[in-house]
Parts: sequence; structure tokens; C-alpha cells
Amino acid sequence: MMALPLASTFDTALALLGRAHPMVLHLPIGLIGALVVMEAWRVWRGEREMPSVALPIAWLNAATATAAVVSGLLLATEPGYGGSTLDRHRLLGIALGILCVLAAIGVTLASRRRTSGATLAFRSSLAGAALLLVPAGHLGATMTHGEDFLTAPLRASAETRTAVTVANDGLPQSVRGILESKCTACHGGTRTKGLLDLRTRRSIEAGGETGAVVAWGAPDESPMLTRMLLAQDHDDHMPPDGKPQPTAAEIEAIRAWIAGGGEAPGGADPDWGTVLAESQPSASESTGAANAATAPKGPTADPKALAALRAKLVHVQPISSDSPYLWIDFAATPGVDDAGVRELLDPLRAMIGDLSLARSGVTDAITPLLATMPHLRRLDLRSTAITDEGLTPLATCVELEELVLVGTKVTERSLTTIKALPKLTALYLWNTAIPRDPIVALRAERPAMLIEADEAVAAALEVEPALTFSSDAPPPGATAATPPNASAAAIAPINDVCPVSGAAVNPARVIVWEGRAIGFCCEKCAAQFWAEPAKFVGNVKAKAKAEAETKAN
Amino acid sequence: MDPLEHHLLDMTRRRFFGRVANSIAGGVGLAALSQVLTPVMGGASAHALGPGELAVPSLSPHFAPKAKRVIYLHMEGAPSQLDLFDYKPGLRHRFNQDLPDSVRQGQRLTGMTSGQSRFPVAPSIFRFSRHANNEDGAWVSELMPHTASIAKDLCFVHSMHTEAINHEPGITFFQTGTQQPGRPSFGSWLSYGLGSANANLPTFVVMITQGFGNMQALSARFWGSGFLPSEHQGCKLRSGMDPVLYLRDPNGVTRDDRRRMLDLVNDLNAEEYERSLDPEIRARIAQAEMAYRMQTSVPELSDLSGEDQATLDMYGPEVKKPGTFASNCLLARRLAERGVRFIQLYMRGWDQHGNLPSELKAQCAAVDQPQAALVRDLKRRGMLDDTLVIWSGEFGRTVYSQGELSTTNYGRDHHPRCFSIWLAGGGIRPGISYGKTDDYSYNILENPVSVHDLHATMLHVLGIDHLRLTYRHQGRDFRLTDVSGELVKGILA
Repeated sequence: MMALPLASTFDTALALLGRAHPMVLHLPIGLIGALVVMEAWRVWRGEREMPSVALPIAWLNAATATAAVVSGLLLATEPGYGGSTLDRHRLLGIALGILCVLAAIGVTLASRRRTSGATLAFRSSLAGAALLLVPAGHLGATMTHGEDFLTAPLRASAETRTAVTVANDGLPQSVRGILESKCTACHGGTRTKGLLDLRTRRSIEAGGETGAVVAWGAPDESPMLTRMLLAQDHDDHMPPDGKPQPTAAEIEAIRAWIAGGGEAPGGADPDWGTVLAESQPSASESTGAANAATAPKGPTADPKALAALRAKLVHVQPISSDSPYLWIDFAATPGVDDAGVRELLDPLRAMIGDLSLARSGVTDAITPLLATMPHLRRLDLRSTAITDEGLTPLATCVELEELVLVGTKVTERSLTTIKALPKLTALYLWNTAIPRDPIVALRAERPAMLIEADEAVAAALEVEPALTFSSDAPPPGATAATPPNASAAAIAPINDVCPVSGAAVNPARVIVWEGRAIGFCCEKCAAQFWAEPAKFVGNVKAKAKAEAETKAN
Repeated sequence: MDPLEHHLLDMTRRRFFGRVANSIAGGVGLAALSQVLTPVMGGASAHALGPGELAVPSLSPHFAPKAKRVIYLHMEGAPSQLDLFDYKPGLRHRFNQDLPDSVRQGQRLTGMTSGQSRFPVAPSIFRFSRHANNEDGAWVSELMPHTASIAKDLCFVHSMHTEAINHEPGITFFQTGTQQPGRPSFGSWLSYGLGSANANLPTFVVMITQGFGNMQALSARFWGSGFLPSEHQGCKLRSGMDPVLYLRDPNGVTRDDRRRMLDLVNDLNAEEYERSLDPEIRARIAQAEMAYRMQTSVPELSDLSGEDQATLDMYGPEVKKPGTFASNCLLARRLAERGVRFIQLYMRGWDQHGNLPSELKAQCAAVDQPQAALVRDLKRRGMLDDTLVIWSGEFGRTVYSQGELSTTNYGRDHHPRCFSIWLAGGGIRPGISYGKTDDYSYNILENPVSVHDLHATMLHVLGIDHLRLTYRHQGRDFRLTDVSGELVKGILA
């Protein structure tokens, strides 16, 4: 009954002693410095006598150095420490402790017998200690502050100049951000505590010295998550107490990522609202519910599958609130590969109406999955590694209306597949290996289909002749375009026959032109006359003259 | 007393009721949503705060959208319709005639020409040419040869009209549906209504190009979110080394430091949100998280190394010069590719009160090739069918000359009664001209299109019923189209 508390008290004491290491280690540093200064002063001034204070300082130094070594060894047994940096630090630290003890013995001997051998032993061990101090201290600080602590300011200015591109690490951006900010300072690259590297999907799957850290699809069995969920003062808690801790939402994002990222789909945490909010602030929260409510008869999307998509920042939205089908767009995740797309889309196959894999890492291996999407209406494969072989399975997508193959390797052979798609109305083939002739032939064969391949720019149909300016046009107030008012109608036309059509003049259609009232059969003729008076004015004059003559006679 | 505590106790009646209302409804936004838009959305009360959570969750389109995003090319200053797209050859023989009163019909004038003794008609001195479209061809000025060459993809609307006669209210009207400042911008409505398609970038991005002519102030409120939660406001990308100011971590601050700082600030904000229930605080948290993600997504966006030379050439020689219209058009395409919903490009300097011919030439030279390249580039990538491109000023320009008129030089004043815009892509009928103006391009003869009508139509192609996209503020439901807006069916595909 008593053994346990006793044991734990003892352990606690040891742990306390271990954690005194960062404090204790500074004492020998100062004391070594003091000894070096004293000795240098003595040599400089040529004094034979060693200052009497050197003896207690040297022994105090030996004692504190020993204490630093012992506490350091204890601290190293705590979880979270390991790796080559620690090994080297430990070796150098022990050597440093031994040198400090030797230096103290040397001082003792020298102060008693003043032999040159004792002085030499003292000086050499002190010099050795001072030299070892630098690398030992640096390695220790590396563990405390991180690999780049010292050189960070040097690199910072250079780093900001280069564009940061999304790394091909197989991680969704949200998860990468969390890992970068909370984990990889200790578990990444140059510093892999517990032999665990959390920088890429592959290295995460490789696990650490205690084995696997993720069990895809089973977040509660993944140490990577469960250790985050331990009480913060628990020995196994990660990140260690005192380091920046992940927020609740970040932990949920990790959970959703593990749940959705395994080989077997499903198993996502049902409470994905928070995940969504953290990882995709503008995503439609109502998606799942909206589908269920407005399209109760049709199939509904699995909320877990939707959550898995959103956890990876893939855009998913119902095409509209009255459609059960989904628009899925991988625009935010250009690094995604076949396996990633397959595990995300497989559970939603029957629901996808509009899919954009543009600029993603998919290859021909993805198209058998696409071929099993019965309601796929629009498919965007722009700038992917799709080839003719990959396109062949798509012949079964009978609902496909729009197909974007821009920037892919497809050739003329794919046109056979394309021709088999009965509902295809828009086809985008720019920047493919398909030559012009077959495209022209296909256009003739399917005139209703828009086939876009970046045509040459067309020339103008006609160009205005050289411009001349004048003020000749009559003011519009006099046009007959508007129905003539009473006073205008009262003016008798000087002609009987319309100068434009040759029909009889309607007395209501009279305009005043160059002081003469000219009648027309209709408004159209009047307008025509205004447009080109010179053409018709001859007709008017002739008639008017003839009439005047007959009247005179 | 702690000044913060003092502030909290200093509660007015309005603040008290506002807070009570918020507590009951679970946030202003959710209240509006649950009442108006998403009766199916359960859990209006489930608004437990999570850092980075959106203050107002976004929605799905009301009906199947034709367009998923908008690229809005705003020509600030109002380009002359008479010299670009509204072909009036008859005016060439009315040179220097007085504008008849029967045409002007008492139209109000700006202070800049109200003192003129006469209003001499100034025909365009630029030659037009006819280009094939899906009707009998579109007449386009020699200043826009590249734009003319894509006439079969464009829908010209010659019968736009607006209520404003000055720039500030004019732009505000186009951006927000009202002349008074303070309402949310179109892009903010869209961000609110449709949400983001790429969580790494803002939903509403604004870029500005400096022009050659007279430039009006461009206030940030043109892309402000008004009463919508401020995470919906436009994000201006600057030209030059830093597209977003202060986005880069300063020297010596690591991403880890930044993360820790953000976590701390988010925790504090979360605490304050629990106390005040102010949705702006949630917006602040969301924006901070967005900025953190943009630290990697924005450099990736502006890295043009993946663009092939032919594409760069298509946008013209200035494409690599940050801040030019060419550069911004290319960026607009890249933003569209990355799922940004609303991309607004401003080209400044179209306000040609004088020296119109020379200034207009320079302005057109800057925009013509890039904007045509943008449409072509979108089209050949299969993106024009779901991207709506709009080209518009805030109003038109007068047929009469402001100041001295000669056959080589003239100016034009503001004209709100009619002007020409063009649209392309997503859900719009390509290759047509819509609406007619009179021989003076002064009054609309048929098919007038108001700014509200344009807004309603834009929302329509995006799958949104403009009557149903509302936000409750100050006790009533607000819409982008206010109390007007008719769908312009004639331009729909």
C-alpha cells in the first residue's frame, strides 16, 4: 500500500532533479568562465601565485558540473527526448563534467605543490572544458529552442523572397498548417523526437520508435490523436506541456483527417460542424440537411463523406437547393492524387453531377471510378495527366454534357470515345494533341455541339470608309419620324406622288424640306427621304414643276 | 474601475435589446437566414463558437446556376459609349449642330457643362468596323480591335441607364444597388449568398489599375461588406511585391510564432464573443485564419512561372508588369481557376471631359488586348461557360462636346440616360446586341436596362433569385436590388 506513493514520490523527486538541469547547467558555465579569466589574468601579469579564491571556485564548478550531468541524464529519460542531438549532447556533457572535476583536482595540486605538471593538468583540462562548453551548450539549446533558432534571422529575409508553393506532401493544407505550427518543430526533419517525422503523409505512416501513430479511419486508436487528448499534465501528452497547444478545432480537424484519410472510407466523426468551420470557413453548412429536406426521394449524400471532403478543403456544394446532386471542385487542393480522390469520391459516386479535377494530380487510374458516376453532367479534367487510355472508360457516362480536356495528352483516338457520348453538348479541346482536321470533321458531324479549340481571330466584316464630317444633316425636330401634329398637317404638300415609292401622297405625311412642303405616302418613305434626300429630291422637283405647269395652264 | 468593465456596464437601451435579440436568435445572421433562406437548416441555436467559424454560414443556389463566378471589369470614370460601342454614323453629318431640346428633354447637367452656352454635337472621330456575331454583326470602334475580334462571344447592352450623374454615387450604385454609401457590395452579397469555393483565398478579390486620364477616388467602401459580416468584404490585392500588405511574417517571426499569436488572439476574441455575441468578432476570427492560410496561397497565386509564353503574349506586352490591366486580367483568370467567386478589376481614368481622343486611345490600348485575351483564355479553357464577365462603367458620356469642339479634339460630360456595357460567358447569350438608343445616343428607344435589372440578371445566372437573397438589418430585410430589379430575359442564353 505504501510502496506506490513512496515510489512515486521518489520518481517525482528524480523528475524534479532532472528538470533542474536547464537551471543548474548555467552555474558551471559561469564558473568555467571565471576560472578562465582568472587564469588568463595570472598568465598575463606573470604572477606565480594562484589566487586563493580559485580553489573553492574550481571545486564549486566541479560540483555544479557534476550536478548538471546527473540532472541531464535524468531529464533525458523523460519522454519526448531522443535522437542524435541528445546523444551528442550527452556525450559532450559527460566529458565536460569529467574535465571540470579534473580541473578542480589540478587546481588543488597546483596550489599545494606548484609543480608545472599540476599547472599544466589544470590549464589543459580547463581549456578542454571551455572548448567543449560551446558545442555542448549549442546542442542543448538546439533541443530547447529548435534547430533553426540561431540561424532563423539569417534565413528569414531570404525565405520571404521565394514564393511558398504547396508542397507535394500528401497532406491537406489545414492539417499541414496544424502540424507545422504544433508538431514539426520537434517531429520533423532535423529533429525527430521519438524518431517520428510528421512532415509528410508517408513519414507519418512510417510512425516512430513506439510504432504507428495513425490508424487511418480509426482516430481513437491513433496515438497521434489520443496523445493530444490526454490531460495536459500527463507524461504522454503531446505537444509537451509548456509548448503551444492545439485548439479544440484543430484537434477536431486532425480527428476528421484521420477518420477520412484511411484506406477504408467512412468512420468520420459525425460532429463535423466544427471541423468544417475551422477548415473551410465559407462552406455551406446546410448542405447535408438541405439535400435531405428538399430531395427526400432521391439518394442523399453521406454526411461523413461530405465531411471528409471538407476536411481536405475540397469544395462541395449541392448544384442547387432543388437538386440532389453535388458540385465538387478540387481547386484548393491541386496536390491531390488518384488514391486521395478515389477515397473521397467513392462513397459519393451516385451523387456527383459536376466534378472538377482540373490541375490536380489525377491520372488514367481515376477514370474507372468516374465511369461509375451515373449522373455526371460536367467533368473538368483540364491540365491533368489523362490520356486516351484513361478516357476510354468514360464512354459509359451517358449523362455527360460538358467535357473539358484542355491541356491533357488526349489524341485523335479519343474522339471515338467522345462520339459515343450521346448528350455531350460542349467539348473543350484546346492545347491537346488533337489536330485541326478531325475537329473540323467532328463539328460537321455534331453541329449542335460546341467544340472549343481556340480558333483564329476573325477579321472584320466591313470597315467604315474614311470619315468626313459635316453639319448638313437636318435637325431631327423636322423629321416625319414622329406623327405630324395638326399644324404640320395643315400645310398642303406641293406634290401628289410620293417621291420615294411613287404612290399617292398621304396629306398627313408631310415634311418641310428647304422651305418646301413635300408629301409622302407613308412614314417609311419620309424617313428614307431624310436619310438620302439627294437621291429622291429630283423626283420631288419634277412632280412639283409638272403640277405647277398644269395649274398655270 | 477597469475601463473594459466600465465599457461593458455602459449599456444603452439599443445595445441591451440587440444583445437580447442576438441571444434568442443566435446571431443576427442566423436569424435572417433561418427566417428567409434556409428553413431546412436545422440548428440555428447550435452556434457554439469555434475559432474560424463563419459568422453566417453560406447557402446553396436557389436553382441550378449557369455561372459559378463573376469577373467584373469596372471602367472607373465612365467610358464614352459613342466612341467605343454605340455606333452612330448619322452624327458625322451633324458635326457642331446644337443638340436639339427635343432630344435633351430637360435632362439635368453636371456643374461642369451647365454653364455652357450651347451643346454642340460631337460625332466620334474613330472609325468603326463590323464584326461577325450571332446577329448581323457588331459595330465596334477602331480603339478596341481585340475586343471587336471576340464579338461573337460578347453580349452588348446599349440601353443601360443609371440614376447617378456623378462618379461617387454612380460607382456606389453599381457596386451596392444604391447611391448612398453603406450597403454591401455586390461581391459581398455573393460571398454571403454562395460562399467560397476555395477556403485558402478570399471569396471577393479586388484589383486596381491606374489609368491615363482624369482619375476619381476609389474608396475601399466600394468593395465593403456594409451591414453584412465583414468577412464578406472584398480583399484588395495590391500590385508590386506584396499583393496583400502585412501578410508576410516580419523577419524573425516564424510561422510557429504566428500560429501561437493567432491562437492567443482567437482565444481572447472567443471570450469576448461569448460575452457580447457580436458577429463581427467571429468575422474577425475567420479573417485572421484566412490571412494565415493566404500566407501560402497568395504567393502561389502570383507565381506566373507555370504560364506558357503564348498565353502571356496573348495578354500583351505588359502582362508581367504588376498592376497593369494585362497583369490583373491574367491574375483574374488564375483567381477564377482557383475558385474565387467574385473578382473585380478596376481600370481608372475614363473620365474624358476634355482631350477625349488622345486619352481614350491610351485607355483603350491598356485594356483592349488584355480583356479580349481574358475572355478568349477563359473560353478555350472551358471556363467561360461558368464564368460571367462584365465590362461596364458607372454611366455614359454625352453626345455634345464639353468645351472646345474640333474634328480632332473634344470632351464629353457625364451621361446617365444611356450607355453601353458588354457581358460574356455564364448564362448570357453570346454574340448579340440588346437595346437601342436614339440617333444621338442620348435616350433609350427600346429595352432599357437599369442597374437593378443588371444586378437581378447577374444574380440569376449565378443561381440566385434576387428577391430571396436578403439580410435583415435595422428591422427590415435588405436586398441587393432594393425594391426593384427585373430579370433581363432577352440577354439570357
